[in-house]
Amino acid sequence: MLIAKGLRPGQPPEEWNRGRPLVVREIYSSYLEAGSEVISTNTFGGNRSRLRAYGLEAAADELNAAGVTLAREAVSEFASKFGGHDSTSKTPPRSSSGKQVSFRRRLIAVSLGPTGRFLPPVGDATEQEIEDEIAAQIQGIKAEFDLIVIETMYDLREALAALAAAKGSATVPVAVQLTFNKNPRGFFTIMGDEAARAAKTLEDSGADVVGANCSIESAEMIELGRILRGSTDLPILCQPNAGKPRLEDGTAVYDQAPAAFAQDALTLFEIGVNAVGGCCGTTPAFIHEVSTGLTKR
Amino acid sequence: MKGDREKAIQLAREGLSRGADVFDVIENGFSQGIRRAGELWESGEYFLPELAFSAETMKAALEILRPALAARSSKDRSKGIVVIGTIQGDIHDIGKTLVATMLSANGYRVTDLGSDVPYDRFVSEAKSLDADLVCMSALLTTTMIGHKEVIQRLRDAGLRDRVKVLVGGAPTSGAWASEIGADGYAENAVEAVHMAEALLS
Repeated sequence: MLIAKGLRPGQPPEEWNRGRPLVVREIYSSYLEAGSEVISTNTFGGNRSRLRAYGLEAAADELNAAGVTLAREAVSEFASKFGGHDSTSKTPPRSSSGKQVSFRRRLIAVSLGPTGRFLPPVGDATEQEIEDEIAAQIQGIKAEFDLIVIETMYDLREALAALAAAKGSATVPVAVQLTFNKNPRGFFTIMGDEAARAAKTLEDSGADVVGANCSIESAEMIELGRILRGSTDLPILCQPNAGKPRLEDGTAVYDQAPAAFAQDALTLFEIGVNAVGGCCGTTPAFIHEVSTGLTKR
Repeated sequence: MKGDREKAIQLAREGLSRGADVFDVIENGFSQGIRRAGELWESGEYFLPELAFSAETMKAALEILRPALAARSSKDRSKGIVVIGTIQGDIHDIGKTLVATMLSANGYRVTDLGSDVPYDRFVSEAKSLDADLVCMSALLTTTMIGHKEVIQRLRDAGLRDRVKVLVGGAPTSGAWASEIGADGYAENAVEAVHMAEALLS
């Protein structure tokens, strides 16, 4: 989405929370209007290690807080415009007739991605360093949010360190999504964490929601969703990609149509996945299709 | 193959002290191991940590064997000269580093330029090292376009006929490689070794 609005290669998306706040807020709004019940914040790469690579480490707290504040503004604006409900107010608003409108909370999930550092034997980071770094990222957010979504984790150990940081730094529910690839023996992270075992470990370690995002497309996510459903009693969150990207005139194009994505999303709900979102290549149009499909069910 | 670095170094030393043929030690000893590691990766038994262990171990053993190798033959026994890096604007380098390690573990002479490598640096390094193969990685859809730019600049510098180009990284594909005029695409480090062997044979 940000790339379509002109984010340049080598520019961290989080920088726009400060530099182009209206664009970021507009994107949040477009997801709310498409029917998103939870929006994730533009803070995925807002940890120290990632921002350091762009010389923005000192601005980390400012960028992360701005990402959440803009989401809060978008939710409040949406609530006043459509009679929806801002998650900060305690009771649903009343319509002009005095009847209570449907209680449909719009939630803000703080998105936390990998630090980009690797634990041994691939790299030399320690779990404590990662936990400290993610804790610092969360503690730097002086704005209200409803959930934490740790996502695109390719090493269960890093996911567990981030989970510990989230649990130690905030009281909100924490979802953890790993990124799996399919190989001849099943679904594994690049570090070799098997999907069912990883979900169980996350449950045992206090995650409130577990799931998978990125890398695989919606059809394959159904297969993975079944495995996850069979491995844990926790709510499951799946955010597939919109197919595989191909390049056209220098920009990535994802070929999957929103309707096809939505059909798979509805199947995910049918097999017991509790929440579905979109990762790479998805847009508000995809969410709109999913949302419309759900109301028709 | 199990990534026991000390054992590998010890075996390499033992092989040399017993007067074993250094080529024999590499080809029938260590190469078997790294090839087996590659097969286990492909069948889904091995993952990044195991592959990293195996490749590092192989490299450590090759370090020990290098002097004997140099003494044995005046001509360069490396399978080819490789220049590798992650493209300008992209700081991801784990996959690229693993490809570099696997290639050198498999007998290529590899110069790893790191990540965020300017387009022209690929060209100048390929030229000064007289490279046989240029490998470029990109993890972002926004930076992968740089692959095309480097290929153009290799062409402009008159190097394109002398050097093969291999691309890789999450958003890239075989279709992408052919679209931009690269010689090949590798999905992972093991495939990169297969591709290098095919391209440079």
